[in-house]
Amino acid sequence: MLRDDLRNVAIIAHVDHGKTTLVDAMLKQSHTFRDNQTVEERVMDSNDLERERGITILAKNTSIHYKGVKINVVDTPGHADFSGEVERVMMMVNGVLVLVDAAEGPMPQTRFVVQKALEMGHRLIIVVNKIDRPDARLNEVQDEILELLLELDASDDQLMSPVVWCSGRDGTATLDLNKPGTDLTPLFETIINHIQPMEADTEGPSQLLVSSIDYNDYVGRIGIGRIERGSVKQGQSVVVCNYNDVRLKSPGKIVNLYQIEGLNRVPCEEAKAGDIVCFSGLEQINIGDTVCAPDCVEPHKFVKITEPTVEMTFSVNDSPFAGKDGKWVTTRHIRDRLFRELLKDVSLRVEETGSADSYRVCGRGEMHLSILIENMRREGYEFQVSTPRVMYKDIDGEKYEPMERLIVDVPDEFTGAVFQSMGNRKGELLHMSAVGSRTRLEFIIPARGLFGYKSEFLTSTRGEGVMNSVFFEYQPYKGEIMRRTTGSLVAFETGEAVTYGLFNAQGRGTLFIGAGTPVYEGMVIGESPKSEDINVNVCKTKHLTNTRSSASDDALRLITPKRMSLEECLEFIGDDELLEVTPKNIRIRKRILDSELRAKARAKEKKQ
Amino acid sequence: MEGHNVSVEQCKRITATEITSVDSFSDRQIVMSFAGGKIVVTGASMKIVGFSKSSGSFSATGEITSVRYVQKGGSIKQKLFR
Repeated sequence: MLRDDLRNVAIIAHVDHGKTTLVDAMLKQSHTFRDNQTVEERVMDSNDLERERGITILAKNTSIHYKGVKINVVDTPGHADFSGEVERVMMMVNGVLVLVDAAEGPMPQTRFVVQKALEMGHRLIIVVNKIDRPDARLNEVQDEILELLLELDASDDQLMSPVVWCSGRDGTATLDLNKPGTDLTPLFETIINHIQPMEADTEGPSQLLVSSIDYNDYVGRIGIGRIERGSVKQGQSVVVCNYNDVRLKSPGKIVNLYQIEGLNRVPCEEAKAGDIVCFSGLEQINIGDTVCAPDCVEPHKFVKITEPTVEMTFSVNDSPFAGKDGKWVTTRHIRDRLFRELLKDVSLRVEETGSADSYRVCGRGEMHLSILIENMRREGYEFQVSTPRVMYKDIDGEKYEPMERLIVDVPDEFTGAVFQSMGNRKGELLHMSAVGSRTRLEFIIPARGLFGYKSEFLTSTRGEGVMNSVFFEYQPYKGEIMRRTTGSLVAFETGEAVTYGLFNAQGRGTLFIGAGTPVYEGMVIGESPKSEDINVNVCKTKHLTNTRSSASDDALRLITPKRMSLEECLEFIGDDELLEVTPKNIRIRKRILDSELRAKARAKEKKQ
Repeated sequence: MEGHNVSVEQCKRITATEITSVDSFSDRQIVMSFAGGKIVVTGASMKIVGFSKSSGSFSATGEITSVRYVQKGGSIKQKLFR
């Protein structure tokens, strides 16, 4: 049966190319909101972190009605680090809108997600967004998209994908640049006409593939997915199985069934093949599971998700100031939270280590793990993390490491500096071309070569450079890469930093803290230009003798400390350092707090 | 090295084929590798306009003063373009 009354569409694109703004405009123009309803600007970004960073992290479902056709719209993460989400969403839809910024053109994440969509044979609609930008390069971008499709072996049908020129912000779309759009009708029409309705067997035995998971305190775990065959009713007895785990066959019952209407989950009695539904009642349901009728247990194929490439160790905070800010500080709390994250994030992996207090957490990049750290921190957790490390592989007895494809877009005058950095970080130039007054360079570089490069890149290009990377493949180990050439200024006394002490310390390097900050022995309070660590005493007060008076303190001028964000701290910490994360503070510390023990350990290391 | 060519137009634009990598680059010097060794191009306000590892094509602009071949692991093969 042809589900002509339904289209399932995903919007995929690069970071900040306007995906969620366009979905907002589509929702508003399809009257999903009442006219007098005040709508926050980015409707689909529901969590604070996404709003602050202006990026989509979790794929969300919504639906629009247009001329009697229900269009299920799935917004997908734009970050290469969250592409585990993108792969799952591909299983729920029949077509994709490939969104490209009219000025930036196709970038790494666009390449990665389009490749996933093409591999699954989906029909594409090219949406060139932000055509209202003054620096829009409309014709060049269209050619670049065609080149990308050719490079990714798109089929003839995919090469002939329609192009819709949009401005998500203004809510307009047009198929012909000479006729400016007035609303998004051309986009809705193109979706209806170009994305084929799903051929669905609504009579056969039920089969539903779970592509997403959510959690709700009242109904417990919620599975989200598309019905691949037959129909599903509320209260129906089912069996859960999995394509990759033949042993899994657990009976259960669909207690609640919901369909998505606009942004809400509306309870329904029954849903048919092709519908995207949410259901509860199966406590152990997981991503990739298939829910079947008991008389026909047949798991549905699930797309292979690329593995994580970066790992960090999360451990209980055992610093001197532990337990002051956080609500959840014990290993049990941290463990439960990390394993709960696994349910929703299919590209994350958590393993227990030899010690009961630490866990090995693997993700798809620094950004992926820093978002998890930030979320846990805001929820009141307190813990420590190690420096990010890449996950090596042993293939035929040889050490392999993950490589990333990096695209860099810089003004011409900074090309040399970028080239220099890439040489030091074992990057290999693949492609270089002039794009207007800027130059675009494409490198293949070891993932560990990118650690700490973002801030160096922004400094060397004076903030005008744009860089994006995505996982490429595993290649033989490329040899030693010098990670950090600077050392740390380490406090060797516990107390409160005072102006007098800081004044002496700032002569040795850049300070991260100001006067009045509580410090402990072993805490890193600055960066020293030399490659060794320097112990400083920032709690040293001036001895008030009859020749000195306290008033002369006012002459001491302190340089403004460098406030480090979470990402900058993760880039900065070395192998012998940890990052102490609490709801109110982020502190860098040495693994060995005691300065003498640390000196002995370093001497022993030099001997080996 | 059959398909390898280098051409310099009015000392302002150099194009080359069969280039395997661009090893270093600044506005005064570009060092590239090809099957037979290395090519060192020197000049002023040098700018790489295009390079593709897959096709081996390379082009750059600037005030070109010399193009020098450095044989693989051997002596310098002097082929000067002024």
